[in-house]
Amino acid sequence: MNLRLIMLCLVPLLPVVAAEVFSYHWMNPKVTEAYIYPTLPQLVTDPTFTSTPKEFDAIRSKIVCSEGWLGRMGSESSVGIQLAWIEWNGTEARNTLEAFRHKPEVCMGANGMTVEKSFPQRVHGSGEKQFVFDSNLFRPLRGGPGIYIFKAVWVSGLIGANYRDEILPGAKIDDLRKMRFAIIENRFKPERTRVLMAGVTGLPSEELAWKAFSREILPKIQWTTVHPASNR
Amino acid sequence: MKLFSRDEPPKDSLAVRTTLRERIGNFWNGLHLLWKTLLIIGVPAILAIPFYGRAIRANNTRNYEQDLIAARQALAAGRDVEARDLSLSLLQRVPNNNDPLPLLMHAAAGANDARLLPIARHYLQLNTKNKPDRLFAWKTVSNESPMGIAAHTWLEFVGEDEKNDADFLIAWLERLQTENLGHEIEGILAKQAGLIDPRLERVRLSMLAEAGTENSYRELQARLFDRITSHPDDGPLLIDAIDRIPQSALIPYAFIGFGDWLKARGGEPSVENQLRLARCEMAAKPETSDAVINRIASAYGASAPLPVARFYDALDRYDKAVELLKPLATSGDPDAFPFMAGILEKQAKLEEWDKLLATPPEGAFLPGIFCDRAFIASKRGDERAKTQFEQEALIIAEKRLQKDSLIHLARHASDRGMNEYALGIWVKAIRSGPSSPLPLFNSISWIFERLARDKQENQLLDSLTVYRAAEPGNLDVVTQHLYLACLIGNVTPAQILTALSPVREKIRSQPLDFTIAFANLLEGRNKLADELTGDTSIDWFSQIPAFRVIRAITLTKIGRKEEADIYMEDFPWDSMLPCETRVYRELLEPPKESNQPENVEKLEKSEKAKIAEGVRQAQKAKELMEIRKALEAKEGGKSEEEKLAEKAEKAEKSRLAEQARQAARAEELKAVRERLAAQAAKEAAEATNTSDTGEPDEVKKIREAREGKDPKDQ
Repeated sequence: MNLRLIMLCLVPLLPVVAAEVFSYHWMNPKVTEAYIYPTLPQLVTDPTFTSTPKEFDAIRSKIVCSEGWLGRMGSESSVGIQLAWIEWNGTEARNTLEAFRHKPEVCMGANGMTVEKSFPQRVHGSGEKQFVFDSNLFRPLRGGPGIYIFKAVWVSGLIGANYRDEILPGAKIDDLRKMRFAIIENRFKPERTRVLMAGVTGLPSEELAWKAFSREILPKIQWTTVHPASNR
Repeated sequence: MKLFSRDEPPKDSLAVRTTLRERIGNFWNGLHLLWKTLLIIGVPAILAIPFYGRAIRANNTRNYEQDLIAARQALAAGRDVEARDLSLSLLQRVPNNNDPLPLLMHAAAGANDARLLPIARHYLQLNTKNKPDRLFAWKTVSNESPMGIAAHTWLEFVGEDEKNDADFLIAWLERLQTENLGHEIEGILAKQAGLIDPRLERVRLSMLAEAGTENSYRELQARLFDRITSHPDDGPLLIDAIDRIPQSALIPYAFIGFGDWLKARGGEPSVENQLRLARCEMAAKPETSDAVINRIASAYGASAPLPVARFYDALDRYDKAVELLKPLATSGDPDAFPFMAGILEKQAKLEEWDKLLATPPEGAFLPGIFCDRAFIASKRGDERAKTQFEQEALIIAEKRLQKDSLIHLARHASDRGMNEYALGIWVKAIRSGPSSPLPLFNSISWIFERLARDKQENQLLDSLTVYRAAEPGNLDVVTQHLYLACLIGNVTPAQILTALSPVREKIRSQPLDFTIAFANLLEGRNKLADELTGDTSIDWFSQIPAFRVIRAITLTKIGRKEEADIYMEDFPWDSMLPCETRVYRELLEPPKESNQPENVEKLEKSEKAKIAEGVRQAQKAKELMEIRKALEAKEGGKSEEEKLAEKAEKAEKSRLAEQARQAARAEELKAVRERLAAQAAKEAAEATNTSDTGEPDEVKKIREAREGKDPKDQ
């Protein structure tokens, strides 16, 4: 075949290929530094803990997550805590956005609960090991015992991620256009995303609920450090 | 388009003279068809506008009147549901017109509507002048609403003139009698000056009979004969009070008094009165007793067995009474049945009693009968039958054929002394809602105490919730309900403060203070809680344990942990509700020591703070001494020497504990510093790629905090 003709055909494709190659490299920067991620194993050592795998399977397909579990612990005379730990591994930006989209009021609202009071965010840990918990008191629409919900989203490389502030500078979850630009600009492709949600029942104040939750559950979060050499 | 096509006017107007009619005709003929049509439709329409509103209103009024008549007719014909729906729609149509309200009330009563009580209360609140309807409303409220609501209605919505009206009073007194509020009745009757209504007099006599003392029987007879002598016509209503006086308490004058009344009434006395007269005669002339009894037996034994049986019962001749009653009771006589059951109970003839109860007459209160059979079974030691009858009674009562059958059964079981069984029924009755004649909270507070003791916190909360609606003005109920609801999580501490703080400005009570203090503790206002619980005159160890734990938590929160420990010595956690244990343990739990950067600062107190601490310690020691003194005063049985020895031992212990505490503090400070240094060295040499699980790197945080870094800034 005529080489010239082939070249003529390929020339228009070149910018496209170049753009693709460039965008791939832009959005997959080389990881050179060690990074960490959290895991919360099921609290099997606690005799009052019950796992509810069926309930987790029901939500798993909806939120397209990698791993996770739902469970509850506590007895009549002790504090009751309902737990949800959800993991997204090797995620794309859109999965992470899915985690942000499920604000506490969205999840609990679907269960017939309504926000009675919102409290200032609770912070656990610091730096990369920081969890920022959204803290709210929910109550069933028809009245009854309230439930203190603490919900945090953790995203690798995104320190201080939370449900209320901008995810990336200048970009909130409800403005997708700005969000897309911010994702590109910040080369945002988080490796791992986690959601920890706890509902504390049987305590009359948020302070006490947080105390119980941060004593019983948060110390059980385990951190794993990954060196770039062992990456993927 | 040319709309006007009028001909040119004649130049010489004098030549052609036209009449007004012709001119109008000409004008009309000259008009275009469009204008003609508009005029024909529009002018009458414009003229009719003022009449439209009137016509519509007249039509509405006619419909309203028609529906009102229809509703009245439906009610008169006994079609209660139809009458109720019609009257409700009328009320909805004209919201400010309350004319259909009595109609709705009567229809709701006929249709057994649960809305009857609020309707009746609202009607009484309206302050209308229609006595029959108001009386009906009051009777409904008085008979069917919880006692707290009834009392509130009586005080607030019943008019002053109505409060002195015997018709209204009687209904109220009957309710007070049901609730065993004798002193209230006496209070009301004492206010009645002059000659009181015979129905009120009847209540007074029945109160005297109930008192059952020699004096009360004497006063009863004095009042009765005084009244029927001066007003013989009141006699028929009052005279049966004699039946409640035992034969031994009848005064000899009764024979004369009763005889005089019979004479004054004239005519032949009834069988009942003949028998009463015979009893009076026996009291006046005891020697004629046998002759009188024989005379009565031969004259009326066959023709009027029930009154004669009552006569025998009054003379304690139960066998003869039973002999007469047996054929009546077994044939289903509604009066003879309970009477005979009563006599058999008095005689403790359990077998015969049970046999009689097995064939109750129609219309008898079946739950009560089954309850009695359970009572008999328990007396005979037949537990299986007892449980079976108890279940049977409850099942029938729960069908609620009458609105108050559960309450009726609960009272019945309480009267029989079957407290365990009564408790369950009371709880069911209370939990079924505040639209039944529940008694006052104070009279059944044992149920709430029992539920608390049995740790039935959900039942307790439900019952308190119902009582909060049934007795909104009872501060005890409000306080207990808010306290428990807050512990369980149904109410926030802020809601407690909103509801109770204004009350506390006017009323001081320990439960109120401690509930508010508890809410303040949860809200983090520890100083306020300290003020509320700092009453030194309280004998803590004789109070309910919750007071002690609230005080202890307050002291812990304001940094007086050692004092708090004294309050918590041998604390009876077993007596607390599960929710109380959960919340108080959580409140007593010290804040997490590690992980918090500010702990280092806490450890390194400045000299100034140490001096302040010393002053506070001295104050604390003084208060400690006072508490210990109070404690020692309680241990009255111990000898003086023992007390001194114990005191010395305790002082020694506290000295040693203080020394140990200070040493531990110094050690802790040292350890933290060492760990900081070690960590710094370790970090320098530390390699990456490790899986560090479990222990949080608190030391790093502490160092960051000391360097003044905010963790968020990283």
